[in-house]
Amino acid sequence: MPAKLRYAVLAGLLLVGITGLSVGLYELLRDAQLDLPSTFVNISMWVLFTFLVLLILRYIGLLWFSYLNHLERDDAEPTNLPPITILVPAYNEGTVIQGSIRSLLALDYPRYEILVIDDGSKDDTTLKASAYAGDHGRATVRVITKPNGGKARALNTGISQATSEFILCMDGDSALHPQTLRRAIRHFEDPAIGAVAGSVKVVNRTNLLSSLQALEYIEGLNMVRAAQGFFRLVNIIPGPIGIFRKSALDKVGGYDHDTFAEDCDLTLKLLLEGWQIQYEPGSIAYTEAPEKMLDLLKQRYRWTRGILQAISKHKRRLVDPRGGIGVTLTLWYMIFEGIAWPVMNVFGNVMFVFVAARYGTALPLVIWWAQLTVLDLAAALYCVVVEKESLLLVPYAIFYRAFFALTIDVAKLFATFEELFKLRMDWGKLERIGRI
Amino acid sequence: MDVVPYLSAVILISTIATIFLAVLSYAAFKLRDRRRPKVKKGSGEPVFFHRYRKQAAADDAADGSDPEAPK
Repeated sequence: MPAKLRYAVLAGLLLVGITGLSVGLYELLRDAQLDLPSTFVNISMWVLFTFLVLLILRYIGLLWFSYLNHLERDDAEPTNLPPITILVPAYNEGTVIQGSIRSLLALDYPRYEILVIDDGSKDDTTLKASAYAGDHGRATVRVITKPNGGKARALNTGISQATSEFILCMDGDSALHPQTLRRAIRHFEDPAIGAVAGSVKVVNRTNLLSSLQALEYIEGLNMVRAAQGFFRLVNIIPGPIGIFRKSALDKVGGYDHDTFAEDCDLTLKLLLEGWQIQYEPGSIAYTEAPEKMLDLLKQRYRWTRGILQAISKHKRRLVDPRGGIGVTLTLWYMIFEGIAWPVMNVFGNVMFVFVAARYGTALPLVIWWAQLTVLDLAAALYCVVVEKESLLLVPYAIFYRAFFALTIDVAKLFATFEELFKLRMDWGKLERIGRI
Repeated sequence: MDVVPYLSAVILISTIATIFLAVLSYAAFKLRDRRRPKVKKGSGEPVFFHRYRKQAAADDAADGSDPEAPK
């Protein structure tokens, strides 16, 4: 059976399966005829199960549009392969920088430049990177050092030094798939495309926490980007891999450093300037995920507050669609994902636990959990097949819903409160393990 | 056999435990994040070690004293 037909059958089966199971679960809830005396609890249950319907539509929508985007993929070789500059900002990346450069030198592309920007590292990053400086045939490696000023400033330095019209921005702790540049560059044949978001995959699947993140990156992040890519409205070009048109970067003034999510902020600036942004699953960056819970919370704390800062920076566009109605809807979608969902998930779980303790029935909690787990399992199965990932990741969707998502949502909720009260925060750099 | 009561119990216990551990983990993260060495603002002095100064080391070498000795 041809691959595209196989994916169509899979997508169809999943959509029918989700709908059938959802209807079944709601029938179960209706048959139970819960008689809850409290008006507040009754209203809360009604709100939560309405929100659950919204989530079902969200999953179905994402699956459908990511599938449509997948159908539009063209696997033909690009006709034009212009030079590309790869920017590698590095701050204390001594343990991983050589692995990153080695992966870059193995890229399958005729002409490219690797520009390592050492952002005032206190370790041996410059020394280790400089060992690779020079001409390597298809690729040249340059190393620039500058006083420490943060990733955004480092990338801006790199952009100003780049000699090509196309720029790939990545993290110093990431490695790229050999086909990354070839897969990404063909999208720029469309002059409306200002940037391409690549696919980020977790390289260190060594324990439960990092394996859950591996699934999350594929299902929670890449599937969303694939669906947004159908509309050319990807809302976050991930830090580990984004390919840009230099003229688009120049026009929006490069990276700003007034948020803790400079990648999200830049993406929104590009969208508001009218540029289209596509997702390319074949352009892959392998990155290290935190293997310890507190490191993971540190990372998610920064992501949450950074994204909220970026939304806040462009909040005028929430009610002013002059930047394009698509961008306004994208901003609302970010609020839904960044605030509404974590709030409702935590509220739902707390409320259902309260109902179980007070009225002796855990059925609403079971239905809430079962519904979300079914959606996660379906999305995981689809994404694993389409992204040619290991099927062994799919069962992790059960643990993902039972423990991981709720833990992260609690952290997001606290981070949101801290952002609302403008509590001080710093960059919180993660310790690298050096598995790349 | 009706599995719903067992499933309910498992999910209920795991949800309560997860919420509890999530709050605890967040508190631990904030606690760890806030613990920093107490250094006077703007002093720039390291906390435990005496700063190495090139000129001072040269002077010490000239008069034969130990450059590592605290002044």
